[in-house]
Amino acid sequence: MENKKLLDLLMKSFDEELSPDERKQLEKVLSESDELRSEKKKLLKLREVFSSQEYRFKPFFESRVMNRIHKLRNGKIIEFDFAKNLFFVFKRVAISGIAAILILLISIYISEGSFSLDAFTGVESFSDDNLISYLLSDF
Amino acid sequence: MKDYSSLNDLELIGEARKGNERAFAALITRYEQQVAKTVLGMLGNTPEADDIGQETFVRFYQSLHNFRGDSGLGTYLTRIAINLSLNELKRRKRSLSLFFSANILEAKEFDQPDPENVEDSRDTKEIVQKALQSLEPKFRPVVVLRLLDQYSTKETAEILDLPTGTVLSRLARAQTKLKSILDKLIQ
Repeated sequence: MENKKLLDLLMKSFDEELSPDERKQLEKVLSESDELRSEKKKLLKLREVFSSQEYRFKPFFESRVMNRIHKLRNGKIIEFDFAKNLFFVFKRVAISGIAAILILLISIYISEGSFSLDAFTGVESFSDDNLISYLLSDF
Repeated sequence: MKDYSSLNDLELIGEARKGNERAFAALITRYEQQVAKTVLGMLGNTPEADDIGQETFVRFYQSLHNFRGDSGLGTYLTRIAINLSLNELKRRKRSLSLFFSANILEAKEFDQPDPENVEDSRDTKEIVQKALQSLEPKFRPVVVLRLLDQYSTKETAEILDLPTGTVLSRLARAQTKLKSILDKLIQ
């Protein structure tokens, strides 16, 4: 248990400033214990092994990143163009639709003289009886 | 032709913001190795690691205008790289769990390098890499940032958004495990 505590203290000494008491305690034990000195050596070696590691991506990493950025930017431009074109087409369709509706309304008004429901449906001459016999005529 | 390697990070970022691609490429060259250390340390030498490395710089490019320079560019990139790597580890775990039961998954995830191979292999890098990959995902970033990238404990805690005490305890546990795995190497 005591050993574990001392080992923790040793590890802590690599990563944090020890209090004066802790430092004194660690120095004392290190001067007396071969085991702890050996642990310290191992920990130093472990850190040395890790800090000396060199890592690199495969060659032409920079070009791969720049290609990806170009693709991303071109993709955005295409996306933007598509949205712009869609809006343009939609605008044309909407204007044509509104024009067609206006022409229809004008022609109804000219021919029927009003905008009543009957004028739109063209069934003002039907009475209820007529309508029933008209609907059932095929049967 | 302008020598971009003589410009500091903020000057290069300024140029890159104006659309100067050569300035951004100079930043990639400057920080490639640091990002490689973080990503390869976290994920091992896999095809995904290269992809995550690229994505780190792409994300930085996309947020060029938001970079305020509160922390150094190296720290900023490391933070992106760590987060992307952690996401990749989660993705790997999810896709593995579709095929393996929980027990097999645990065994696979925390597979330790074979001591025989450790003894025979002359490639220290490979041994260290294997040892790193044998650590549980929550211990790995602490080791990568503190031991590979050489960040201070405080910086490591800030990057991982963890209390310093947690960083220290994870580091101690990870080192105990690494010491036992790499025993022959550190004798």
